Amino acid sequence: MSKITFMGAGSTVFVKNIIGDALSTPALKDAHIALYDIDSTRLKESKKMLDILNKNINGAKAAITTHLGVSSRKEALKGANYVVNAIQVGGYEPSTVIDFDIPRKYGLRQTIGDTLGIGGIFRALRTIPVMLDFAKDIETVCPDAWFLNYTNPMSMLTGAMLRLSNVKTVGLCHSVQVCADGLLNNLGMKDKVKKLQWKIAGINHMAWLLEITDGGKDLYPEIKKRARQLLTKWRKKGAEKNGDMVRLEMMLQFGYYITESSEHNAEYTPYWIKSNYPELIEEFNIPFDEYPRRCVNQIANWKKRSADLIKNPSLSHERTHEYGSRIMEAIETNVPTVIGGNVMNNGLITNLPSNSVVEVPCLVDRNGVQGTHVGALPEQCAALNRTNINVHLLTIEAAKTGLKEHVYQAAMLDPHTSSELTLDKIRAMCDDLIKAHGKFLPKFK
Amino acid sequence: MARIAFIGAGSFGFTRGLVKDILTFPNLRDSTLVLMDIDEERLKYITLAVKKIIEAGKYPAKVISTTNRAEALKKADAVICTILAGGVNVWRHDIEIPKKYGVDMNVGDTRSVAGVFRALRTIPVMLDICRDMERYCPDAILLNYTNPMAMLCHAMQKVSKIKITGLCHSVQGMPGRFAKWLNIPADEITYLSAGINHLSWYLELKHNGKDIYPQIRKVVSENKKIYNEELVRNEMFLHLGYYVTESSGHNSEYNWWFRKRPDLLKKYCLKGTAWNPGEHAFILKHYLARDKNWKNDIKKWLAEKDINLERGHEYAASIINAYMGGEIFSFNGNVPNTGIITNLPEGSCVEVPVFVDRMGFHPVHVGALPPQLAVLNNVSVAVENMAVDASLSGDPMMVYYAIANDPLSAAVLSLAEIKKMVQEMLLKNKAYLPQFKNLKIS
Repeated sequence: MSKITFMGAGSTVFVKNIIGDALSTPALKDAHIALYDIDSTRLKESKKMLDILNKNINGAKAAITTHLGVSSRKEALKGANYVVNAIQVGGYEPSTVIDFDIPRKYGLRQTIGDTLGIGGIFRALRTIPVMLDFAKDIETVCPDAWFLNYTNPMSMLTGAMLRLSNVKTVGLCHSVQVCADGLLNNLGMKDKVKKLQWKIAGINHMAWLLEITDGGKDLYPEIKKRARQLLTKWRKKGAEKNGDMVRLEMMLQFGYYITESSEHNAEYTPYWIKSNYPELIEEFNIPFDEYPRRCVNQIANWKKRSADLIKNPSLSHERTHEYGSRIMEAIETNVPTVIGGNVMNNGLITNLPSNSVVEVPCLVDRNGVQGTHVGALPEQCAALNRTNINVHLLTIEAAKTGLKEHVYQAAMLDPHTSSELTLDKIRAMCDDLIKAHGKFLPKFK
Repeated sequence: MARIAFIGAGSFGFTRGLVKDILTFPNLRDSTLVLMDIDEERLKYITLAVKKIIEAGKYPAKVISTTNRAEALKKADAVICTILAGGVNVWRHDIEIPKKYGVDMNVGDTRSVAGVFRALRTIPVMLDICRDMERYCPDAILLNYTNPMAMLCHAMQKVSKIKITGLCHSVQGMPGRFAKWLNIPADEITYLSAGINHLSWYLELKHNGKDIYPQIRKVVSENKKIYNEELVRNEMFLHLGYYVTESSGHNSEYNWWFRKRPDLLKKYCLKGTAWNPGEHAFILKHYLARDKNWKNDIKKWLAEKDINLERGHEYAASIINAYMGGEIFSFNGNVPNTGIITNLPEGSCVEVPVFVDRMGFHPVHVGALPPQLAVLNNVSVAVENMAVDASLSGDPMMVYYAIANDPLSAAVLSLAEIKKMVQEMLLKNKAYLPQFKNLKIS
């Protein structure tokens, strides 16, 4: 019987996805599911939902317990084989609002702010200490557990765990497994492809679709032809816009398609949100403040969505595309599976730094999650990844040393921030942010 | 429908076993099996044998036999190589000449002086196969079973773009023995193995997730019967802390410790009770006997009524199934070291966990070996890389430099004696070393 501990179990929908998947997996049906959160209402709701699901799809074979608050954290983790991490530190209010409002005052606009950029940096700075606290507990009460991190910013948090703790960690996202399908769908090619094959490697949210073939036949020439035609049409003033214009243009310029969405990628490079070229926003359909908008909607719909889950006696589940249960299943059964996972580079991608976190195909079996060798990325892809990795490494350095200088430097090396602001402004903005975030951040030296 | 070419199909044991395995996969049961050998008589018999398997299983598979390699490779999806270049009567000199000088070989197919000469004769043939594949089936995978594994794979991986991995059954064989020693079910043992071929290490050995090395150490030190099964390997384990993958006989010739004095040979290499404890020329004797009996043996097999069609434990069929779009498969394969084992040289051939899917082979990152293991691997890798360089450049001095650093030769001979031995062997192999313009070492 394995034990799965879910950190941040108040995310009822995500708990349903990951734990619902586990309960649909023969090798995990009799698992002990330990739900941990610091919000008692949300924790109760998740428990209620899971009890119904456990009864409906699993003959109530799993044991489900709840653990509220920091004082019960060790008990939640004790003896766990798997720890799923989906926490959010600081929430929409106050933290996300601060991450967007203060930079906006400096003229720095963002779309998502959870991966890179000034928003990503501060999200990491407030989350890393909490995760390292988890790590200390894990090292004590379940040192062999696999830590499956779903929380963003993925590369920074996973890197902090891998470098600053002894916890076996892999970072997971679903952008890899939906990438190729999404691209073909958007370009109207989905039905034409019979034997889709692809290879993806890079860093989280900026991994590259290195190969996409129909049974060995390269699909890129057709993809690029269509993208070129469509973009010409969509870019025209007043034309009907598409949701994926940034990525398609990046593909045409740099040769390869990227895993994460256009609204994300608009803030990972200096080409899109530029105060000197405000017309780009309309031309490429870039949604400012997209993430806070989603948060507001989510909060407004929360009650209804949660009622849908909790008050539905016939609640059911279909296994999702999330990697979590696949990983646990492969480790339990020793039947190998392959996932796109975030792991320490260690030379897997030869033209990225060895201490960076990379998103590569990983073999999973009883030996755990094992990154596979990729080799060199096309030079222009590696170059773009490195501009993002600079920020990852400096943010981790700031968390590790507690030195404020490294916070500034992380922001100064962020491609979007540095293309919009002066060094003085960046420093001032960081100071404002540190002050506004207050107790959610560690005390910097 | 897969097209699978067997180069050196006259290796009856391998070809029969692998054909049986391949046809157990639903996706591969209608494969076209192309059998190629330069020995027409062996080809005739293996064709009959494969047809017998197909009939017994009522498989919709097809068989084609040919002595023409290019023909065999055309449009292949997978190529299995089980050749022996030069035959037993050439190979025997690899064992017999060194013996005259006091270098006592047990197997002589992997490394040390005999392994190096086997590599020098075989590398040109393997490179020819790669060149043919580049021309006739550039997307096919090449699964090599021919020894010396590490040197042949290293040479091919160095010069060819073909997707190549070397396969052996040593890694997956030993855990079953551990299970017997500890009286636990074999399928509950899991392991992480890495190193170089025939000299890989079980870095982790677990039963239901718990380390079983303490228990193995206990039975090996306390149970005389178990200790006596594997004298060389058990000694290595007790002193180095990790168990090695290939047999005691093999390992007795990969280092300095066991074959340099008659008393040590007697103590460690003759009395083991498992397969191949380490007597002189063990495999050569086996080959010579087989050379006499092969026709009778295959005739007898062909006359048998019932044959077992169950899948065996070789990796090749599962690899081909995965490459043809079936479920992914993980195995221990021989691949170039691309930082996978951090304390072995970049580019050398290492044996590590690899998974295979429709895109090809994906080795996983291992990290650093414990230093006492890495040093043994590094010595062999250095010798093997020099031997491969010697073969590719046709430089006889490089052959000498390689063997001068071979632990077994160096343990019993002086530099001058090694030079003399290597010179004699080079001249003896003249007909099989077309890549060398001259064979004189100074």
